[in-house]
Amino acid sequence: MITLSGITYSYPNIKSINFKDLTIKSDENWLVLGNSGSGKTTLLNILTGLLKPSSGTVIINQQDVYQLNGNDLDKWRAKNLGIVFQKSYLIPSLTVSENLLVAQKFAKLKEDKRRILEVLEQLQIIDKLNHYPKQLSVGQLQRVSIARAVLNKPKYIIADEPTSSLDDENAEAVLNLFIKQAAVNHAGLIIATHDKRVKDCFQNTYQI
Amino acid sequence: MTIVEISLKALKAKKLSSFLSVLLVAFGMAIITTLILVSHQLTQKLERNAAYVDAVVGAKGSPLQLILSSVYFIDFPTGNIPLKEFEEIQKNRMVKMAVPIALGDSYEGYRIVGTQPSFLKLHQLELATGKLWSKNFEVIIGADVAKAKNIKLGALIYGSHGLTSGAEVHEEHAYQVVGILKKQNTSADQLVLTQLSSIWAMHSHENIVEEEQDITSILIQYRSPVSTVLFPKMVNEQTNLQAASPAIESARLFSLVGIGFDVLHYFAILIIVIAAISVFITLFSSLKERKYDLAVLRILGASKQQLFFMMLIEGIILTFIGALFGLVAGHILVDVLGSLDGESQILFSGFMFLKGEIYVIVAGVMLGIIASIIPAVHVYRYDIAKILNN
Repeated sequence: MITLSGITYSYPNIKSINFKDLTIKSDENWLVLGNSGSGKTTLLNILTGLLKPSSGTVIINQQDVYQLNGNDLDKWRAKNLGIVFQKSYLIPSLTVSENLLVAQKFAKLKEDKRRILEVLEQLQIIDKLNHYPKQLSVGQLQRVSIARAVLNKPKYIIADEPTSSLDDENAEAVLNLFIKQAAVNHAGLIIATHDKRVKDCFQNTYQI
Repeated sequence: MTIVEISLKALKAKKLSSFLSVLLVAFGMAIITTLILVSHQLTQKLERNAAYVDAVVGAKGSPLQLILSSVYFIDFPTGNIPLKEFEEIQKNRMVKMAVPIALGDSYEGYRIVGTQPSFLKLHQLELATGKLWSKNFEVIIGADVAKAKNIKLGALIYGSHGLTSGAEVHEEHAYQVVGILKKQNTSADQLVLTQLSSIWAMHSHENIVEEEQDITSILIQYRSPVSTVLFPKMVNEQTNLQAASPAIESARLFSLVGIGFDVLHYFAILIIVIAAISVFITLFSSLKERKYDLAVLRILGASKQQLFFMMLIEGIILTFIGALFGLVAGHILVDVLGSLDGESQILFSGFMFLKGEIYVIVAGVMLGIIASIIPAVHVYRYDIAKILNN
């Protein structure tokens, strides 16, 4: 369960943003809606322990996130959260499968090639296994970064605008994968977007 | 997938700049390695050759030249001295052993030395096969001569006038090889030894009578170390000859050559510093595009320390490989130098490994750490939220 309470954040010289309190149960799917610049990314950063809020607490599965420091926070995040950014941020010197192996390594999990193939299969990108990131299209890169986020079966899958660079067909496939993976792993799903196509698939929405 | 593997793949992805860094490190390290090997072998060779010779007496001239020609057999002799001087010197009570040598002829670039059996005793040479000469025109040859020219016992060889090959050949008299010396790793390996009268007889058409029998120099071994000061003084003051000490002259030689060594040494250090800067620039400039990937590694659970080491390892890999290549290149260079200059009596070998070379590797690793510490600290301090928000 995720509980956000009393969260505010102020960037220098800008009026501070107040976020409504929010409780997300471990198997719920949530959509964070808001226009560009409204603070969606800020909220996700606060949620994932990347950006300390000016005030308020973030508690995820009984853990007060901002009570963790340094390496403990990095480790906790790697074990509990699967994060997809707006850009794919894959390591260019490693192939698709090596990028996923690295994700297993740093989360201190055993190398599991079968799991990697399984995830790539579900994302229909298995044929790019041994390709380097620069050989892939933007949409393919996005799917690899989603594969990396769900690879280690996190408690929550958190994505920032995951469908903005995909066409209708792929956007739907990706959303279905997010929802399916969240269900399979009993993980919560939080997607921030302004993409109208996404809206219908979610019961819970959080408007900023 | 270990951190080292990730580092290696990152370096592989920027082949050109990695190659440049490795090349620079290798170049600097190769010069250092060459200097270490050459100066060690030079010192060793000089010391081994002069091990049993306390002084050399010869015609007046450059003392260094006298030592080089009579002990190391590399320079031309200073001039001739009459044989009777040898008999005088031999009687001196400070002298334990005096060995006359007569130079002038050579066989295919190897010097023919007219001497007495005491030459073998002085230099502690032993025969591998055959026997000592018993009459004129019988020679014993050094191990290298036998090997290089594939000479067996009983073979006939022709000397030529002068100390370099290709000069006028004494065709009227052949030398017969009666003995081959054991390998000594000194200049003796490259000599052809015979008795004094062979040399005189070879030039007999010049009608040399007994009074004019000349030698080149006399090798001296003292009875006691006290003579180190007294004997040269005596020779220089009371005779027309000079006495030179191999120890002093080779030290003087080294101080002359040493300047060249120092210059090369500083040059190598300069190249290594440039190499370190190149490694630094390679790593630091790559951070601009890599910072997002490195920040994402933190999201995936990598610690600050792991990223710090990843950068350090990238630097160390570059300089370590460079140092290894430099070491190998240095050995090859020394071996090529040794095989090129066949006429010189100081042959270098690349197939020799010294303890000092471990420091080349250690220096390589240190260099990598120094070059990558700033990029590593930079990565350690990344504010990942700020990087990923952009």
